[in-house]
Amino acid sequence: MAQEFSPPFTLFSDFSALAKSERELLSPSLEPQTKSRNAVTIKRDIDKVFAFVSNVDHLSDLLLTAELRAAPGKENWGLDLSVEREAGQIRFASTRQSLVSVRGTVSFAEASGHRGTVITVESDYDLPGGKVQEWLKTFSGHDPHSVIQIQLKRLKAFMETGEIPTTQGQPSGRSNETSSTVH
Amino acid sequence: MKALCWEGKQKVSVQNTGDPTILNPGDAIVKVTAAAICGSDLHLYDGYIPTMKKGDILGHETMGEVVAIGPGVTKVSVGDKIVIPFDIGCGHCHFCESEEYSLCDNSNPNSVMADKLYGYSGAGLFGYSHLYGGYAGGQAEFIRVPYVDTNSLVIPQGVDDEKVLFLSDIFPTGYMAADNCNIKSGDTVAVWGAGPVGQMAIRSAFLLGAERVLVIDHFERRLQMAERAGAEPINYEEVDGILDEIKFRTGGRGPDACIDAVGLEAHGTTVTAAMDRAKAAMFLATDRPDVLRQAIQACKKGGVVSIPGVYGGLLDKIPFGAAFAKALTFKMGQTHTQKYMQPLLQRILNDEIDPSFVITHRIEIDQGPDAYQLFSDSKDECIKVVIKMH
Repeated sequence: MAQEFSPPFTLFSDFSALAKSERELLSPSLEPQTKSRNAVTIKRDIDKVFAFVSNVDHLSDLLLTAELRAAPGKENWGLDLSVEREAGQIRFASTRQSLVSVRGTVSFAEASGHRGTVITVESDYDLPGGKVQEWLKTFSGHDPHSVIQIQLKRLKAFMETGEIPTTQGQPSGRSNETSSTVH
Repeated sequence: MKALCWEGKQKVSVQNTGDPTILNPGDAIVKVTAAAICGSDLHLYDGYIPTMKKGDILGHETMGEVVAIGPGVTKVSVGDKIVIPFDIGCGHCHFCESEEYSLCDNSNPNSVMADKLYGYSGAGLFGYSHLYGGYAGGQAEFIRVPYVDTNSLVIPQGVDDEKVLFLSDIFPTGYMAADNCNIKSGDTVAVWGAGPVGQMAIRSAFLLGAERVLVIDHFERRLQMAERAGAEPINYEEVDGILDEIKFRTGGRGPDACIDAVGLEAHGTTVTAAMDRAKAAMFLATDRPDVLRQAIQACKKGGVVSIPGVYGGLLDKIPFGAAFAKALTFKMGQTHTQKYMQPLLQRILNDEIDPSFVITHRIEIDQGPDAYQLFSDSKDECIKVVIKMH
């Protein structure tokens, strides 16, 4: 039985470090995608999943939007979300004050075979100018699709286990973390 | 703490590193009492597995004493001696609840990386590259175990480490390989590779009811070890053609099941094996699957090819037409170690098997770099290395 979870909760505690390690294998997308479709199946009841995700802070974390806020030097990329909740769906859109235009839908459905809840995220982004490409390469190494997929996986892990898997803070033999070579 | 660290292709060093700490509520910290070097560690050593970084702590066959637990741990206590499975399951996802722990959805923090290579990521693994999570391994004085309630087998007091250490990997791996063969009374099983996993697969096949087990290798000491378990050894360097030899020995039918306990670094004397080596040297291929080709060709019609041997990338010239024509069943994958640990412990405690037979070398951690080289260079002399840690 998964642990119950309680706020505060953030999906972003170590995203930048995670992105770096993945970037070394993956070729970073040079062109930011403006459309994204993502899906994940979470082994929890639909009511609990809907309630958790529809918390606006959690929703912001889930979408690329939170990474935009977290990107260094991008504080002026203000982003306000307008959220409409209705049965089985959350519609979101940036407000006129936002420099980043984003809109989309988060949908919830029971997984077949009573295997939990399927969350689908469909979103359109209009990202400002050439700076975005530079930001994507240097900060995340990912297109928006991959970023949201990472976030959905972290959401799934948290809701199923009460934890987000991490190796940040573990020991290694890298020169900046060791005192000496023994042999 | 001291730890064996990967430094590059065929380079391992002993480093003084920081000690692991509790990072998540379900963690435990274990003082390692014994660890082993695995044949699949040699794939890391030889540079076949991508995403290794200098300084990564190696090791996925580990056991020791619990010295700290996180607030979410319920099934393990400080002072318990545990064996740690090499694959990391969360215990709560669809796959873990189906006892398919090596396919865990949640334990690999770098799963998007594996998704891009494989479609969907499996579980994180200890000490086996960042593609599989980047978890620090257990060839060290201490190790952090995530989701320890799922990833631990508590050992009764008074049981020698050497008898149970291999519940972490090679014994469940060999057993699952045999279990996947769907062995029926009277069956003949052929095992390629008389290394530690092959040795366990041979003995597991007999435990599961096989009447005959053929073993194929070219290292005499390993073949002799297998023969002591009742297997019929075939040195492929001493026969005219391995496929003809197997067909002859099985009355023209072929083995009912074939186990590939070699994996991606197959050696061999066939033309295709030579081509594999040439391609790998020129980075035109990632794996050398000559054993897999032989297993497919040798297997009887309607038989099973069971693959515990590790493969990583793209394989060339696989006789899939033969596999289709003979209606073969393929079973493969990383071991669902947690599923098998308790029942196999019971077999050990019942004296049905003592896995420590496979140990040929016992070392201290400072001898680790030399042991890797010996294991890589002298597989006939060196079959299994155990590091006595504390």
